Amino acid sequence: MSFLSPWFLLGALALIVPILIHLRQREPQSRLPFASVLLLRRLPEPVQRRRRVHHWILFLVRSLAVLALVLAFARPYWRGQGDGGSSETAMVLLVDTSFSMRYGARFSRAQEKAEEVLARAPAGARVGVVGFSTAIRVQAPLSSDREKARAAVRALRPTFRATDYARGIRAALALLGHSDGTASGGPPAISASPKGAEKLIYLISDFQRSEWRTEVFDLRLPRGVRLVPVPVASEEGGNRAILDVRALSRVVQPRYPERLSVRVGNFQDARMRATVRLFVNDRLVQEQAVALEPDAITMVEFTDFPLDPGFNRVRVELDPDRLPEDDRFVLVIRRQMPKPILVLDGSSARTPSERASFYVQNALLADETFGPDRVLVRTFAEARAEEIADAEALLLVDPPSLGPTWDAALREFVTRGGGLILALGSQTDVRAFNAGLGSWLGVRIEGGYSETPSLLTAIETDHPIFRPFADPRRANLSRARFYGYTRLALEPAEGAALVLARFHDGWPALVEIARGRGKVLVLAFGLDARRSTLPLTPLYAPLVHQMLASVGGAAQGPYTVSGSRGGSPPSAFRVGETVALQGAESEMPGIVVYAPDGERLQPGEELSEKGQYLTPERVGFYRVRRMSGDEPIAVNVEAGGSDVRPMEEAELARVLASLGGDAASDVSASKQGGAVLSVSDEHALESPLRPSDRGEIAISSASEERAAWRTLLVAALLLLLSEIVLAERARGDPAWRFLSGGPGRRRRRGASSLREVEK
Amino acid sequence: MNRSAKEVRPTFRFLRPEVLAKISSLELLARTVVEGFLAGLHRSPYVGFSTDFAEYRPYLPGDDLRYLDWKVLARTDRAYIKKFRGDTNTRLYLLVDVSASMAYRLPPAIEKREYACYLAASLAYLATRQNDAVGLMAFDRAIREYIPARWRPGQLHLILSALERLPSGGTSAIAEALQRIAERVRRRGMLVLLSDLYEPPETLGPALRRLRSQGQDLIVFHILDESEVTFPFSESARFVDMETGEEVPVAPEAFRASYREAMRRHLDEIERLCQAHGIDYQQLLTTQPLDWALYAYLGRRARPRGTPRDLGIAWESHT
Repeated sequence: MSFLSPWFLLGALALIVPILIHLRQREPQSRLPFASVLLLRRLPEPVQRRRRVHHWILFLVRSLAVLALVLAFARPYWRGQGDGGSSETAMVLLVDTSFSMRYGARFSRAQEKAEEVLARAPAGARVGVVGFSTAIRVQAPLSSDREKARAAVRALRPTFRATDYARGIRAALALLGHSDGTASGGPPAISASPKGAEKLIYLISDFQRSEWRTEVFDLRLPRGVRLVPVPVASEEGGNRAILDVRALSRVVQPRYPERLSVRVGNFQDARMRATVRLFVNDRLVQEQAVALEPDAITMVEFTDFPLDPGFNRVRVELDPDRLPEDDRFVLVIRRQMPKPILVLDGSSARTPSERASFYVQNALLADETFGPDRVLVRTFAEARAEEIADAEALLLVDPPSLGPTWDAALREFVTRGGGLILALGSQTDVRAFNAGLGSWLGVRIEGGYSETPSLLTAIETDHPIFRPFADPRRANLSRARFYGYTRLALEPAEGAALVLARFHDGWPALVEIARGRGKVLVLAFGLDARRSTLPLTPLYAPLVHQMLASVGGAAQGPYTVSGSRGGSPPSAFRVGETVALQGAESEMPGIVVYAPDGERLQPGEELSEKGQYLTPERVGFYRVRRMSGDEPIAVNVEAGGSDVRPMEEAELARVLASLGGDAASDVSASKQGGAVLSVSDEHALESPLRPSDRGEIAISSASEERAAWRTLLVAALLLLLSEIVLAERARGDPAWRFLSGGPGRRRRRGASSLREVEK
Repeated sequence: MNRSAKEVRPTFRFLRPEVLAKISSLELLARTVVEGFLAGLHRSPYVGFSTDFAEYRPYLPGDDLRYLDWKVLARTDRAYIKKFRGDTNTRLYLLVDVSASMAYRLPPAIEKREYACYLAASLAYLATRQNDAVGLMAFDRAIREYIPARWRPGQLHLILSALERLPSGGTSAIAEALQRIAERVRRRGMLVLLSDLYEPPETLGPALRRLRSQGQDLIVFHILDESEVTFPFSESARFVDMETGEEVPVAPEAFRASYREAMRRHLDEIERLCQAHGIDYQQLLTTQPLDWALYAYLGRRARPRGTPRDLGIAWESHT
């Protein structure tokens, strides 16, 4: 048995008072003059007797009445025994640790509620603590150790992640030894717990309206599991935030060439004015005043702001409000000095116009971003190793037998992030290629060079290379004729090889292969005009640019797609997103990652065991120290958590009702009216005997259902009535006299003789 | 015929103490009591009691046989001669206990001391009317007031005045006081002791024996308030001794029976003690009319010395 208001039990101390009063009253206080105590002194017995309670029945009745009143006010309850089976109770405190819980005092309130639930948990109940957002953290497994559970509650911290209720509920069910029965799946798993065991999930959350995803509606709670919602969102008011910023992650120009787009959300009913500020390397470079319409998203754009060479830490800020972490968005824009494109031409054409490099160079120079200094054309014999290392991309045309040195150099170049375009032609040394680069790339030249006329088909127009050519009315690559091509076969065991285009007979025409941090495009056709009409089409130049952008990423011309993840790293990441810390294998051990607060990360929570991947949980700029220098990684709040407005009660009731199990009965039995859940939640843990009249969802659990306070009050009333009757009898009968406070009766009969008196 | 005073109970409503308390003058009170008492005696059909009869004395050769009590002779084979008033003048000493305990009363009763004063005054009046010499001694631990017994005009007034202004006493030591009285009273007479006798019987005995050995006639009026006998209290209280100040906490409802038993034993012991010494003993409650006491006095007054009772012979009333 437990008590809802245990402090009232102190009233039981009041039982001592009547006893003391009785015993003290038996100690005569009034003084009565008497002729002589000569005879009184001779009688020892009365002195001892006066200190005893003489009327036990009346005393017991009064004491029981006091005790019944005390217990009634203390409001005892005990867990439902059902059919008398096991009294084991398993509870999971499923605490929302998403970003919205940082709003106001929600999280501290959630911790308080969790501790309240712990305090009221029946003795022997096993309690587990789970913090959930879009990630699950089992803070404490099921255990009877209350201190451990309390410590786990106190150790919970709000994250910067969004909310995933379905994931949280599933985690709680898993902890209870259940699986959920999804709407599309089979029936819920049968619990292996003892018969009569009670299973509770206390979902302590702000029940954010915008975070209830469709997956929740597929959940089904198993029978015997009761979901108890504990709302903690009582603050009124909304939030505004910077939802997203779209920008190029790499530029070569000293001033940002395009528009940096900022999406600002206003999740409240009031129209607001705000100022959006743009900082580059902590310098305010631009700001704009913006009018935020109620419950709307507004776009703000910045352009033509200066960038420093190298990595630029860019920050977009709003005026801070009650949730400041989403009023700021950070990103990294790298301004690179343009690296040259090195074209190594292995063809044996005598005239320059017949060489692939001629066409490539002219195609690149068609874009003013490519200066003459950027396109370097060399023969294989002329090429120097340092030129290869410094190039942004390599374009190998008709490569001859390269030898192991070239192989190693190319491999290292690609692994380090360089882009390589291999245009295989009739001059390509098949054996050397297959044994060297080909085996590394997982590509094999089969059957030599085919001189069958062909067209390009099966073009992956979704790929960034071919996206500008998706509309055949504007650009039809199939019009290019190919009179010879190399037959390529892909090794089936090799992964990461993507065929982006084929010839009409099915042989791969363009294959994309990722190796290390770089990318390789293998063209089964040449880039000169001897074997194809492609260089003579207007599509040649943009195709070359797209291919270079795809493998290089930094230099984007007019045909490149900004923000592409296919070619260049993104300018910003979100909490929970996995970031590949790519590098040459030889470089990996040397990478050190620092969190935004300066903490050096160790393999564990955010950093993978081998240090290859970073899953940031904090917002701000992480710093990756490489041998080549430091690189910032910008991390922002996970999208979706900025609309902090809680769900309305009716809405939540529908959602919980859809879960089935015992959650529906809880809500439908206790909800009243359609008040928002954000009312005062001090009564969220009230006894179910008194359903809240403020539209709150009161907690109802089998362990609190059978409160006995009414019975005790009735018993106290009956005892007090009995006391009245017994006390009245005691007043009339000297033998019953007890706790007498009235005047004594003195017999005065006026006897005429002593003997008559004595009779 | 003479009857024992104990067997004659006329009703004299004006002798009730609470009525007498309204009489402010003690002399008037005494006269009222006595005259009323005597008038009642005369009207009573049981009159046969001679106020002239004084006493018995053993027959001596040569005594007038007309005064021989033949009935006593027939029964006891002993010859006694009756003596009547006029033959003797009794010296009466009224010994009034004025210790603090005598001030006790439980309303509406009067104080024991008051009762004793009324009785003493009445006895003094009666004795004076019979031409007896009356004296007074008020005592507690010692003799506080002493008026030698005289038969002279103004003696009654002197006695009554003394009774009206009796000093308030302290603790009592009755035996000790009686010893001093015994030293003071040399001549034989009648001593009427009016006291509540809160003294162990074993200490009283020697003093009473001494007085008797001196030839004194003793009447003991054991005056008590009814509450001292019945202990009717219901409320627990600390009972405070009026003489010593000693406090004894008592729960009466659990104690009453035991107290009554103790009081009964105490009274019986004192009565036996008095009887053993040939002392007339009369227990009086302050609610009782004074006639009881007067009867007792007169009975004793009329009984000659050397009566069979004095000699340890059972006294039988006779007509």
